Amino acid sequence: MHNKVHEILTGIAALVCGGFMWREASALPVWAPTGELGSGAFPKGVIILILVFGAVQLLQGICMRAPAAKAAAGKNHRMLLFVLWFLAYIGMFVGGAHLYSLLPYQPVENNLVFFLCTFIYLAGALIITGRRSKKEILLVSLGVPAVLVACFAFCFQIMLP
Amino acid sequence: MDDIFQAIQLTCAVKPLLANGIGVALGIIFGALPGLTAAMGVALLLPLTFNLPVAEAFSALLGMYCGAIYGGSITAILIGTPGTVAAAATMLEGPALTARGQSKKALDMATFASFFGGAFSCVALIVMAPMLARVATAFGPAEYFAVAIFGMTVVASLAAASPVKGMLSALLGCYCATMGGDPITGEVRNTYEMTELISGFTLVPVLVGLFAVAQIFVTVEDSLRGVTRDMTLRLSREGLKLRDFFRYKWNMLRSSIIGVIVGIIPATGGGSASYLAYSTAQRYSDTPEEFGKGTLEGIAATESANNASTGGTLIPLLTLGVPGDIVTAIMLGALMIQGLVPGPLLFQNEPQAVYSIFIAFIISNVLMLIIGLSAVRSLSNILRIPPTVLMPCVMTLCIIGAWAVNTSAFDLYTVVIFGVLGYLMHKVGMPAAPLLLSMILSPIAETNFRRAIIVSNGDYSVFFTSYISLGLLLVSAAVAAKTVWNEVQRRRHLAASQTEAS
Amino acid sequence: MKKTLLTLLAAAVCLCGAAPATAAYPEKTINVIIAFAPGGPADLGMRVVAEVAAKQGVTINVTNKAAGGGSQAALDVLKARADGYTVLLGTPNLLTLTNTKNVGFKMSDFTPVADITNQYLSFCVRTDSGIKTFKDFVELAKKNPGVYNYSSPGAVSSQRLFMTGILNNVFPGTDMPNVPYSGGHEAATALLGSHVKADFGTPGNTKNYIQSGDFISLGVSSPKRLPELPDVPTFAEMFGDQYTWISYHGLFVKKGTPMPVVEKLSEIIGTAMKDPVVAQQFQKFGVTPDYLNPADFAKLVTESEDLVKKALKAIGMF
Repeated sequence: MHNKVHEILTGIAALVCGGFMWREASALPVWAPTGELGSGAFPKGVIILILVFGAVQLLQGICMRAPAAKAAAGKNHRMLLFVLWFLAYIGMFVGGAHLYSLLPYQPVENNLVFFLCTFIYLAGALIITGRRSKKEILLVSLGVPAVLVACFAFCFQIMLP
Repeated sequence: MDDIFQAIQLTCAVKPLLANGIGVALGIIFGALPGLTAAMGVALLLPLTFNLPVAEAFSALLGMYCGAIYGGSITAILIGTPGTVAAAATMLEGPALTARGQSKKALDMATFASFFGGAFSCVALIVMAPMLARVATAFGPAEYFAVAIFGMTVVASLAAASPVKGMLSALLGCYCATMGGDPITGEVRNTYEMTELISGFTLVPVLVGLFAVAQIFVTVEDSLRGVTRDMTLRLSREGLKLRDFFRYKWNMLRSSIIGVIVGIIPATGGGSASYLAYSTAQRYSDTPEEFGKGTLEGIAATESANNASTGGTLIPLLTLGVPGDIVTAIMLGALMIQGLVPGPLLFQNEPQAVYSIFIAFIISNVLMLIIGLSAVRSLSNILRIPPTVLMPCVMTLCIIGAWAVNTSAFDLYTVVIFGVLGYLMHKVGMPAAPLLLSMILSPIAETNFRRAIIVSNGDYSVFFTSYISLGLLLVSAAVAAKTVWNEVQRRRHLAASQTEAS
Repeated sequence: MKKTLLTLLAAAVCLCGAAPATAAYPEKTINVIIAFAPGGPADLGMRVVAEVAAKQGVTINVTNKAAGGGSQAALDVLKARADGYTVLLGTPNLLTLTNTKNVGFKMSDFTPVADITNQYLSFCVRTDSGIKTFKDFVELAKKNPGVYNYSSPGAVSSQRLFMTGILNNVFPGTDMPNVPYSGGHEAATALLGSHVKADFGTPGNTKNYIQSGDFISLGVSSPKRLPELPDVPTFAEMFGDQYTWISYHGLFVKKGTPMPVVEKLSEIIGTAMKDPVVAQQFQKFGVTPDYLNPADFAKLVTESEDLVKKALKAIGMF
């Protein structure tokens, strides 16, 4: 599990994030005007520690003995697709909800956008993960949102866009 | 005595029992679904109890509470995504057991342990409520700070395997917790100009993202890579035998005590209790190296602690009118609707109502055991569904859950951010549990440290002058030192055996 | 020919969109978004009113959105159309918020519709401290700077602003630190455990402790003495009429909502609140139904905003 590249990247990421965090927190006062600890004390302390440990991590990574190269996993691009598709789902969901609320005439008050987005997402996700049976895909991507809408919208009365 | 009999009559009638049962069943479902929490379930039930009599109303609410805290463990064990914050610690052992084909044993253990914890806290509630109540008010800012520090020592043991990365994870959690309004001065800090961050990250979407979504990504990746877990063959028919259960009795007793005490302390709840119990169990265990690889001992600890905290949180609620956690804060509203004023006078003025609540709580735990055991038999069948189909469905559940908290688009972004972060952390071997735990505990530590200084008017020795605070800080130091020592010893052994072999 | 048909069609669709605004209000469910967390007395009160309004054939759906200190709830209402179907239930906390940070809106973007309930501030000490009047407390604080403190439910809470106003104008030079907690319950618990010397909260949070004799209230911020605390003087009595603070919990709609809609909504709420069930339930939660019509409520909001601005200036946050 200890992969040299990963260790170095983690160290670098920690240092870079620490830098951004410091920039944001630099305006916060460490001592409040009334003499007690201000709002900046704790965050600044945390950020300093992050930078320290990030440096340690980086050094550890550089000094590590590189193990034998692992066989590269083949289906990595599928995984990336899965992750991106998930992001797309969220985007569709939020964007769709917003656009829908701007329409002058809304046929169904709730639940429509959620149903559509979930249907599209599930169908796509199942295709990405390699399911082939068309019947199965349709069944799941229609059935699951239907059940969810039934439970949440009607039983629990939580508004879905 | 008369009151007790009356109360038993009231709570054991058909309607309250039915309300209790429905509450427990709904609670288990709510707890199991990632993103839906006990607090949400109780908040949803609350308006429905407006016109019900005390016994029925509280049967439903307490049933929901017990069921939800227990239900989170089901998904934690079977799918590897925690249903509630309280079940996050169960995830340290549950999935490993499922991978070995012992999911049914794990689920049974979780059910029994939850019942044990809940029942133990009932006893504590009934027998010792007024005495224990004093504990709730003895905790001032300095003591809370010490408690939070003590909780953070758990982080040390969780991070022991890869200390640098574990510390980074914990520090990241501390930082994320500072984003939002400063609790002491009210200024907004670290929000990067985003108005949605004014009150910081909501905890539930963080949990869902970091553990549930990340785990889904990992599981999907595993199955894409062909690392199948071949669930259908390993569906364990073997349940837990009573003999095995009793082997862990001291563990569960200890964990339940921890659970009750953590529950009593207001503002700490099932999540912290289960982590504390877990790490204590590891310290006292005969086989500490088994922890993390799938041991029933770990589940016994976490599940009895988090259900014990349910009774614990009820103690300050009923005796002082001080809610022990978010759920009991909502129940405070329920008490007010019924015209019951919680506080020191409640026991004297309305003994019947109080006893009804106690008995309803006992019944909730019993029903939880019954419903849990019967549900668990059929629930393992979920594992039959191939992960490539199951995971996207669980994903949509996570989204609904995160949406249901606040109907806020930003919460969904939180899920995404922490989901991707959790996935990346898993890939580089950074433990995620320290992040969650420090996100919960560091605000308590920071806020109370500064409050203590304000109250003591600038006197920094206040942390050492209080017995509770001093004691907790010393214990924390000792625990942290021991953890480090153990780890150093372990590495020496490892290095020694490696040089021997080569 | 086709072109005219198309334009007619387009016009018809647009008219369909425009039609609901002038049709009889309310035609569909009214959504009330509460800018604070569920479970508290005002939240329960609003739900009771919503239930009672159903008797008039009006469906009111109540949800909470406490995120961002209530700013998310406000922004949601502003994102919707100004047709009176999305309503905000807000408190003076929003005034503090909009005047200290840039949250993307101002209270002037809203039209006040109706007040539901008012809460007041109550200053309590432990009975066993022996302090009997507010002036005594301040005297002790003057003699022991920094020792006599008070807990309040938030970092920039109404309580803190109010107290700063009193101290700066009536007792200048007193060092009475504010110990912020995250809610009325926590603040009251701190006093219960004697971790602070006083608790500046609301009558609702401290009611049971006053009843049991643990606490004694030294002052309330209402215009007149409260019926459940008849022996407690008001700050107005003690220091002057400008020392009143009314924490309203009222309904707002987006500015630009047609006046007939605003008035109809206010009327619906008013009628619902006259129902005896409302008074009964409100009393159980420890609040009172304090209905105000749009004009009076608007006046209250403007007055409150002035007070908030003055107080914020005094503590240097405005």
